[in-house]
Amino acid sequence: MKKTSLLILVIATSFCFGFAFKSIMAQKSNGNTKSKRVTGIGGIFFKCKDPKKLREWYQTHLGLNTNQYGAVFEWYQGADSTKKGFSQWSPFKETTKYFEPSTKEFMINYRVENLEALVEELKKEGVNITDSLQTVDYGKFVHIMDIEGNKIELWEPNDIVYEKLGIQMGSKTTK
Amino acid sequence: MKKVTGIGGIFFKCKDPNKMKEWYKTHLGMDVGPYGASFEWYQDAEGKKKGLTQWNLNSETAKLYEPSTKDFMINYRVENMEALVEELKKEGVTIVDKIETYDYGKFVHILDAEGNKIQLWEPVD
Repeated sequence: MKKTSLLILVIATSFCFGFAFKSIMAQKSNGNTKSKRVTGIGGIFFKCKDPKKLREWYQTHLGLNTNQYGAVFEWYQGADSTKKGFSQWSPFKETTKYFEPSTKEFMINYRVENLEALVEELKKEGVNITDSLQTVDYGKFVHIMDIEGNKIELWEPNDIVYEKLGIQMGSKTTK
Repeated sequence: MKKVTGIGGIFFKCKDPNKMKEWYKTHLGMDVGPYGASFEWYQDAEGKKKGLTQWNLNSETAKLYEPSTKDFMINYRVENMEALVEELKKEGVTIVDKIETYDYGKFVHILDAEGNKIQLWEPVD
């Protein structure tokens, strides 16, 4: 009799534990779906007639430290000021295909956290994803469309590698 | 003299700003209010000086971007606006208006070499 009660107690206890554990897990995964999406501006790209001339203009008159790709703005992250963050600024040729299928004159890059999970969420939400996730050493990228035909670049950055690449190129950031 | 120190904002035109704001709020998790969204960061590693980059949408009929005909406008953060405007005048840069002072900073608008209107902002963060 004692053995049976003990067995029942053990089963009941493990059931309760299991239930509690499951609730905690459910809460966690729930929290994940509500995790941060966009955390900042990762870049601004716009079309122009003569990118080289325009970069020079911004260097001369506005003091941007430009290289062949544009300029990089350096700042510290709002969530953790010991970590640097970067925003890329680049004029593109009018003939660029980079913004397609958007016909707009600009494209914005948004910094995101956990791009893989975000893309899954966006798919479920019916958002138009224009390509597959690309991983390069300075982060992960994917492109999506907003509801008015603006192409959006999503970037889960690796800021440490991104900074190193800039230093290797001999480029200065703007800050 | 330091000139531009950061991106102060990015603004673009759209057909339906309210619908678009809802979309960016829902799908991209941006904290969008009546004036768009504010991205907060720090100017220093110690986290003492905050910086702000504003994101906002305007209707297609907005006159804010004129005389530019582009569908976007960038705001650049600058230091010492008064001295910078004097420099830019000397350099022959088109200054569209006069410096306006608000409690959150000083503003002026200029045109770049291709007619893009630029908003310069000396912020009070």
